[in-house]
Amino acid sequence: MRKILSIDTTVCKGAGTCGAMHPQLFSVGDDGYAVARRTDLVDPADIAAAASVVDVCPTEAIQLTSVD
Amino acid sequence: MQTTEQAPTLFDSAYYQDPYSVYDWLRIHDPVHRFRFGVGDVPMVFLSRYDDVRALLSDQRFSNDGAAWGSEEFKRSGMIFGAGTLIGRILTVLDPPDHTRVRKLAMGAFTPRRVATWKEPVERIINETLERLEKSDEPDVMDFASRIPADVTGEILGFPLKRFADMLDAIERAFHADPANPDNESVVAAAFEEIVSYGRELITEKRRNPGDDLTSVFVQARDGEDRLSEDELVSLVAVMIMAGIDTTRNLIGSAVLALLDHPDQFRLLREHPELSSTAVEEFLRYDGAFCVGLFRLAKEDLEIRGVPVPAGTPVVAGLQSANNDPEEYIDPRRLDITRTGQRHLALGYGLHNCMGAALARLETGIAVPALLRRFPTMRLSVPRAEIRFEENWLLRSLPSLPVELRPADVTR
Repeated sequence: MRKILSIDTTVCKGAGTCGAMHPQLFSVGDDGYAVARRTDLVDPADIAAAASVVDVCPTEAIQLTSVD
Repeated sequence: MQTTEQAPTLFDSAYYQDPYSVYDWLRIHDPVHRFRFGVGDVPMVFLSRYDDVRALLSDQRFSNDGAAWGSEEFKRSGMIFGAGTLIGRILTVLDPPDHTRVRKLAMGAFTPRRVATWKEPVERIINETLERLEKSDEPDVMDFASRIPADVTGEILGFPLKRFADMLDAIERAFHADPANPDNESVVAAAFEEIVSYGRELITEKRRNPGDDLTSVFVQARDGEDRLSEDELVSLVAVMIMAGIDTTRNLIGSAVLALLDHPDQFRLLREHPELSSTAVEEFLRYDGAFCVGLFRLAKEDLEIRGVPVPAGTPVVAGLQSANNDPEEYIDPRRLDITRTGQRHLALGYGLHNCMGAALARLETGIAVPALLRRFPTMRLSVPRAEIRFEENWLLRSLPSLPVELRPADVTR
């Protein structure tokens, strides 16, 4: 399984939930908004971690899409 | 090492009226400030710089769970929020993995789609509240500011009206207790118990008659897939009852005061209500509802900028200090409703960032422009020096903001 992780910057409000939960996958840039540190995820542990953040983000800014 | 001998005092009477000059001093001279908190004489650390505060809020070496991680002095001080009741186990203090599970279920109730459905009731309640303000003999912006989030919370949670006034009274007793009262601690504990029992009552009612309110959504999360324990459900409903009322009240009140203090910004927002979304962010930055964050407890011995912070030390995140750090914001004590750039920390940051942020933004973004539109020449009815903030270490709260709604009419 392979997933693409991205941030919808038009709705991100920079609350920082993602970076606090999984700093290996997310950081918050100098402008205060979230950035995906890695976008191409294959490790099931990374995919599970990213999925756990999707539902917790207060603005639904995290997108995790299947590629196969 | 900086000397802290001449450091101004945090949490004294002068501080409450002008915290910003204290923060200015600390940011420069003692950014990792060790001090003793008045209640219980507990040794603590206060962080005042934006970068340090933001780093603290997302640092997993700290916990909000005072009962699990606090120093002995802190536990003895009686400062642990709702200790011994279900309020002591609210989402606000949980650590992962429990936090992740409960927050995920709770966020399901605050989806952008659901928040959008609240626009209509919020507008209706604000219009009703404006009518009431207009008819008041002694108009006070804080009556307006109090009523809106109280009514909105009642409606969104599906609270039966007959219990609503009792609930508001319990919240008042829990968050505005008189520290001079020797029975203060037991008054607060009793008020928390009451809030928990309102929560239980509401849950019982929604099990019987589910609606499209938030409480019914949480009941389903418990009963449907059995992922919330009964205690977690009660705590979650209790935190929903408490969290959105005083905070939004204070934000609306401080926003109006800030606009009265900055007539050019008052005029700008009145003429350009489409600026309301950047204006709300600026109100949050300029005088957000929380002066400081809830205590973060160091889970291990660590250092911040070379200052030792032993395990169990409560560390105070100076939210409003960070939001007025001149390293991040040009001329921070000037209200500028068009300001862009660095995100403020008024709604927190990291794991425990404010869950109701979208609702607070919605209410404030409608209420403040509507007030200016209705009363475009509004002004204070007392001298500015008589406007005093409550001496409350956590909340930046105006007890009263008396105004003349249409001063031009008076002099006619």
